[in-house]
Amino acid sequence: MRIEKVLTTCVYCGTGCGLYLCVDHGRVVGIAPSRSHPVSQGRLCLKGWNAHQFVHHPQRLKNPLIKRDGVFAEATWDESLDLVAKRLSEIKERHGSDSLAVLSSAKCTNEENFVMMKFARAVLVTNNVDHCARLCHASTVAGLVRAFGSGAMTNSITDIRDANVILLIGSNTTEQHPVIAAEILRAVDNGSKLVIIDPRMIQLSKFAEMQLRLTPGTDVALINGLMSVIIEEKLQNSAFIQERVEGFDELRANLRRYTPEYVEQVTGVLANDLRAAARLYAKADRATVLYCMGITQHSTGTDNVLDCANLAMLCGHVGREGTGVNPLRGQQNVQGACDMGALPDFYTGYQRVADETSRPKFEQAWNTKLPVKAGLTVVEMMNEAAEGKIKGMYIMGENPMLSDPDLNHVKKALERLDFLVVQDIFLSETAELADVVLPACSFAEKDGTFTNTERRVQRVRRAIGPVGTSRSDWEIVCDVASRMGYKMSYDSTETIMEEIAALTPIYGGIHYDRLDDFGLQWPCPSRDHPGTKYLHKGAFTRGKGHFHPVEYVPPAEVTDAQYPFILTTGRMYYQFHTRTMTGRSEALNREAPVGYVEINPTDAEKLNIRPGVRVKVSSRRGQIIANAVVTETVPPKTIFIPFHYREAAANLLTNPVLDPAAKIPEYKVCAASLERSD
Amino acid sequence: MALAWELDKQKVPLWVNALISEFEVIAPVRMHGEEVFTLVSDGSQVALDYVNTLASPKEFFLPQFETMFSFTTGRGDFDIEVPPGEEKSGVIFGIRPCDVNALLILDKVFSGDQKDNYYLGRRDRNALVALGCNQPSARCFCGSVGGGPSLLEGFDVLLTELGASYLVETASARGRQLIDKAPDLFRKASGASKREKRRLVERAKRLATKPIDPLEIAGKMEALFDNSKWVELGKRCLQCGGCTYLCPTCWCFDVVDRVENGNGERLRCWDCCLLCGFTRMAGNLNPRESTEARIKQRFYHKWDYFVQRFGTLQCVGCGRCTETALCHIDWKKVFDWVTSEK
Repeated sequence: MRIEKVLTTCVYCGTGCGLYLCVDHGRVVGIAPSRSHPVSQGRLCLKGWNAHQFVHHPQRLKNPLIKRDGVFAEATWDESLDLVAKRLSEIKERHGSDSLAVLSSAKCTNEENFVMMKFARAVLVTNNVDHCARLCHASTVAGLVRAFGSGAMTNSITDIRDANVILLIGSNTTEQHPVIAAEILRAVDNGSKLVIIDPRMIQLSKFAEMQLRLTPGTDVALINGLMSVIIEEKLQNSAFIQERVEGFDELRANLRRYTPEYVEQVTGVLANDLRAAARLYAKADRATVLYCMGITQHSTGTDNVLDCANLAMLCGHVGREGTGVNPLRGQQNVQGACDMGALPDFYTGYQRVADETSRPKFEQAWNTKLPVKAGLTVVEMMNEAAEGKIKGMYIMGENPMLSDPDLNHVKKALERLDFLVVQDIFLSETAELADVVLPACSFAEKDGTFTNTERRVQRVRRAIGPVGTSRSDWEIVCDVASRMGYKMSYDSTETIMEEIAALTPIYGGIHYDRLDDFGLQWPCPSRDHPGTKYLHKGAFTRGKGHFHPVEYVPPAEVTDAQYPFILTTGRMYYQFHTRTMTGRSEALNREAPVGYVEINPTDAEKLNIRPGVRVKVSSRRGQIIANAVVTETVPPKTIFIPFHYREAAANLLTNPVLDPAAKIPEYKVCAASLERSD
Repeated sequence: MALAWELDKQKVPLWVNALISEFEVIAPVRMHGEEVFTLVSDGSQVALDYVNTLASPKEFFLPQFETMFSFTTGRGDFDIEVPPGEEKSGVIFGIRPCDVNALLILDKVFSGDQKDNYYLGRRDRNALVALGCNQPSARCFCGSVGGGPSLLEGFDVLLTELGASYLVETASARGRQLIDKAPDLFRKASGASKREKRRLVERAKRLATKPIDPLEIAGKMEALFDNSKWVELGKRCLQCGGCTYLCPTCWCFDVVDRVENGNGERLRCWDCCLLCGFTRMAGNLNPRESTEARIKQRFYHKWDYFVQRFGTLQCVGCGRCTETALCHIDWKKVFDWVTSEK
């Protein structure tokens, strides 16, 4: 073996672990953790350890595909790029720019997201650009920007060690962010108290001081209840509130009706447990809130996030090490894709499209007139496609045919398009519906940067040459742009980052020569700035923090006689998102090869469902068949289905109702029925 | 009796360059603030002032992901093609005693009744230039399990740091050939240098944990079989796989076929006994369903079953499992708990 090692950043979750790709004769044959990496520190999870397995999988797309008479045939790059440019130009000409839409990708690099959003705005001339952050943390961005002025994790991952109390809400951390779970475990070993708010029992439950098992969708009531206890018992940090936050009187007035007894009725959490949790959090010297999609994926997602921010500000647990409000981002570059403005209402660095100073800056830099009207979000794009208003889509590295809610609707929408181009490393469920499929390089084959959940911009390094004739996503998009008459050309990803830095204050000091080892955390406004370990020190990004009183509103769909179960969806350890990669990694896929539904033993007994039998789960939108897992993990009358599996796609069932502010769908709650299928 | 020379530290790169002209040289290289074993193209890259690398050189003998053969199917028969072995022989330069001893453990497994020619071929083709350990780290418990810090066998060349130079000993004709690639760089070792080496070895032994008879350890493990400690440890396991993947003495692999359009590859990849799928059988039956059962299996395999079978522990006390595991299980502490059993 003549193995050479190339340091890069893991391609799975938002933790952003450092790992070496082990390369032998141009093939990636293994992974080694990086001991010096500030986040992962010599550790990896099973996905990270096996991040090489899909790279050379024989199903990798090696050449462009063009569909003729319903059948894909391999084509040359020239032919394919010409066709894409021609069809997109025709649609733009005939139906207008806003009949086109683009999905950028949290799986692609910052540079690729930047190029894609520039393509949408400068070449297609539409703000219809979004990506799957819409489906995971759109409510985080919407909520935290309003409360604090910045929509990102306030603190750093290793800060968890410094927290005396960790409030973990809606995060199955050992499965979705295992290296962050290791930090929680270390903190608990060293005496920190862990309080979990989650309807499901998780591995960390065994290490928790207490767990509040709320009814899914009652988060606002619960957090309001915690704050009501804190104010009742005068445990708030009055000095912090007076100096740094506005709107306390309105908050207090709103909390009056959230007595522990009322909250117990709504959430199912015992009043005394609520009181105990409130005391623990409020009295801690340093307490941190870590949350994930249990908070965000609701029709009240933005309210849930705002309430987390309210709670932290009420106790002064923000702006110091070991504190903060910390969303754990899901994909390895979902933070970066947002930072890069792959969003319908923002340019890079959260500069608003609507802002009359931002737009001229980008117009001048790109030497073109940019669209003013805010664009469509992911689910809105599908709705408009289904209605025939969106005619053409360019989807890069995303798989809405498995990840979006109400898949039957998504399929209708994509099938109605006049033209669909999909760029990916495998023929995903979405790519199967495309007119043209363009083969992209995997993370092992390209240069760039990813930004992790703690805002750390890190290098991705090319370790091997492209598989087949695949190309980096940014190169492909630039070629399409140029063929559409807008010259886009960069000699390297470093040149793209120079343009990003010049246009983006929070990335102003991000230059490749500064990222050699383990990156920089934004905001990093200038070349001499060391980066920012935690936000809101001394003052919030927006100046004063703002309390937003929010009221409990039940989920959009509640159970009834026909659909008596609450269906909640989520992820599991061995698979990632729509399994395009983990499903082709034998070490991972062996552990969980098929979809399943978790059912509480009392419900299973009533329905005569034994472990392993096939069950039918139905909602108002569809039905699936999956294997029964009978487990105390879920409470009675609640079932859980991981959304990864094509053959038992949870998103055939989910409700596409949206949070009004963030437009995130309510993946965490819908009504379902359950029966044996034999 | 080994032959002994001395090599000035600043001449190491010259020697490595002489080796590179004929061999693929794998050595610790400092990159991004840490040392990793990697292919070197110039002797100046080699960094020997290190404690130990996070990943052992195991992967150069048993790669994490390996094509065993490729095949084409059709018409009911198969054409099979075994990939050619490497053309050039190699040198693993600067490998620590624990990692050499780990290879001796793997040798027992792969050269039994069923010879593993992939592994054994690489063992044949790669010489080992070991680097003696003068200072075990706080994480190591090599002294107790026989993994180090001294190295008595298994190497072709052994280097021992003596301040400004290395004492260079050879234990094989192949080792001697490596010296002969650049004989002018070496001088005959003085009696004082040999005595200094013995003193350093004795000192390292005193610094290391004290030796314990493997059979005694195995006996204590048996007495602890029903102890509740294993439940407590099992509760923590996050199934990251790190403890097995980084372990220089773990060899388990899974075999998978990838077939697409009639062309196939048979691959093997590192496996991990902490995973539920490792022992899952048809019908979802699993003799080691719980993480408790699985983590216990790993400890018992290393410190009991292997002793019964081969007379030595399947552990060299390098402490990598402790460093990498997400669960923060400290194997040295567990070892101390086991050995303190009366």
